[in-house]
Amino acid sequence: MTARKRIAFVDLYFCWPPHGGADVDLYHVIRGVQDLDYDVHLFVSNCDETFERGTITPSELPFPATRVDFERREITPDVLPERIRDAVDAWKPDAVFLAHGFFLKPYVAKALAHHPTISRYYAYELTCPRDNRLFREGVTCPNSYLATPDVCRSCALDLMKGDIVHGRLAPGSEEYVAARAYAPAYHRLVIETLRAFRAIVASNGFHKQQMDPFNDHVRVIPGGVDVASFPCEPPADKARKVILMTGRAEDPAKGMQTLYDAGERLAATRNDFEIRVTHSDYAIGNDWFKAIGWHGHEGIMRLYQESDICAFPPLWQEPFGLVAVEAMASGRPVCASRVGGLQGIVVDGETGFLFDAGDAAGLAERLAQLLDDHELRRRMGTAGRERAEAEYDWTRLIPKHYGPLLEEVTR
Amino acid sequence: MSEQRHIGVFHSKGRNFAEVLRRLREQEPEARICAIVPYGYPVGREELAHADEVVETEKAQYSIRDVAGLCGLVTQLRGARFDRFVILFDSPRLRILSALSRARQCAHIALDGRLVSIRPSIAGTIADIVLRHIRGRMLYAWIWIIVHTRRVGRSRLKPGP
Repeated sequence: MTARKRIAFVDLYFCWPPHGGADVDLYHVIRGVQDLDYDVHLFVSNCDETFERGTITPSELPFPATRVDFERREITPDVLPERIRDAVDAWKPDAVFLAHGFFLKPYVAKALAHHPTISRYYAYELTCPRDNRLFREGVTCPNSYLATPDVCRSCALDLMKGDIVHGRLAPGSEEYVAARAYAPAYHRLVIETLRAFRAIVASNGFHKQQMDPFNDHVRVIPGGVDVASFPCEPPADKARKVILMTGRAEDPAKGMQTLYDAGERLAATRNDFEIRVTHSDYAIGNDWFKAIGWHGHEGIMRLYQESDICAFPPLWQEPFGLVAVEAMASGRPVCASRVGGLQGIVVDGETGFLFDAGDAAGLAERLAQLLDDHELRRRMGTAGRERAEAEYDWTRLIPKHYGPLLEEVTR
Repeated sequence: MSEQRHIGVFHSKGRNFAEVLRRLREQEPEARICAIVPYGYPVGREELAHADEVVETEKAQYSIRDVAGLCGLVTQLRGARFDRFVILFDSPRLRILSALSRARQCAHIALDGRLVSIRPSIAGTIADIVLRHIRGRMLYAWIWIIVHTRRVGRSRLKPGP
């Protein structure tokens, strides 16, 4: 009888309850990999003095976990990677899955380089040291830290300037300073570790393309949802159809302005709709545009059920687009920008519509089409639910993507 | 019979306000909790369920240059006569606001959710800001020199074998 393979998951920011999509993703991946008959163990760096770093109670997680505690002054390339390495080595893994981390991640990767390592990227951590978004002045940034490091170093420093000068370092800028991410040597480290990874997981093809020249084993694995947890009732018939935009609507990269402009076009000729956005500035809005604030998971599921159409108009290369999958799982047609991961999620004309980022007229046209056609909304909603079940449900996604990946890396 | 404690909780973006109010209610079940929210904040939302009263500020946002607006805010806070004034972040500006509120006690919510008492002093906070600025400017100048004088260049960027 062969022993079960051991996979160590390492995350420098994991929190549970989750603070973001990366936490949710990793949680489900670990559970799924456990179900694939691997021994799993999560190693998390924790620091109570900084925001959102490793607040977990290992005994409350459904898989074994170790919280490696740090003081704020220990969040450095000299201390953190070494202590993470010691904890991981003591567990003797067959492979390491290196999940979320920012400027210290390459140092941790180097410390763990003696293990076959898979590196997961959730946004554009490798290519945009400014803010992981590759988004500047309303458009996708044409640069990449891998290819144009000097431009990106200067750009990153521009963003960090306020935090550094005012001495109020946020987690990102604090790590930037601690990791000496401004130095040329940091770029060499990034390239060196990128080449050494046994496999790399990107969220979309755009990011994969940027990493392809440096590693032959980059693959795209989407995020998932627990489809069964999303109710999928047909929307109630109402005089004003609800168009819903969830996610961080305050973020200009999410394109709320495009949706507003599209709404304005629609409002000029009709009044049978209401746009709801999860924006926390309640003062904005008018008769047909409502900011409804932040909602927890339960609240979001209710919002999807109350909606008739979901719209996601990001301007940036949205790494994945979980909100679109959630809307599809809720049986709602989705209108989304043709960017990043969204173009792989929404099947244009089947589960919703794709339009060019920032094209308010195009969005308005598609929304009008959906508002006018009950049968089209129903058909697209049903197709979306089926697609969510087939492609994005964790129970199918893990065996399909992570099974072969782990088999290859631990062979 | 002891008088009911009057606690003011000053809303800031970036923190789960409902969670803060809920935890505060657990810690101070007998207190009269007042949620101080920005103008336009929809009163009656579920997240304010743990507050006994809700007070709207006169403006949705305050700028450091808006002296008249800030004076109005301070007057409003002082008028409420809080026994305890709670801020969601321990930032210099909020510390000064706490000091000006004339509450008997002040506290901030730590990153792990604990309520931490503070003794805000206006002079001490201003001195702290000045020192941080000096240190910050020196650090920034050092990093700027490295970024703009030590280039990575393109020669190292060829794809690997």
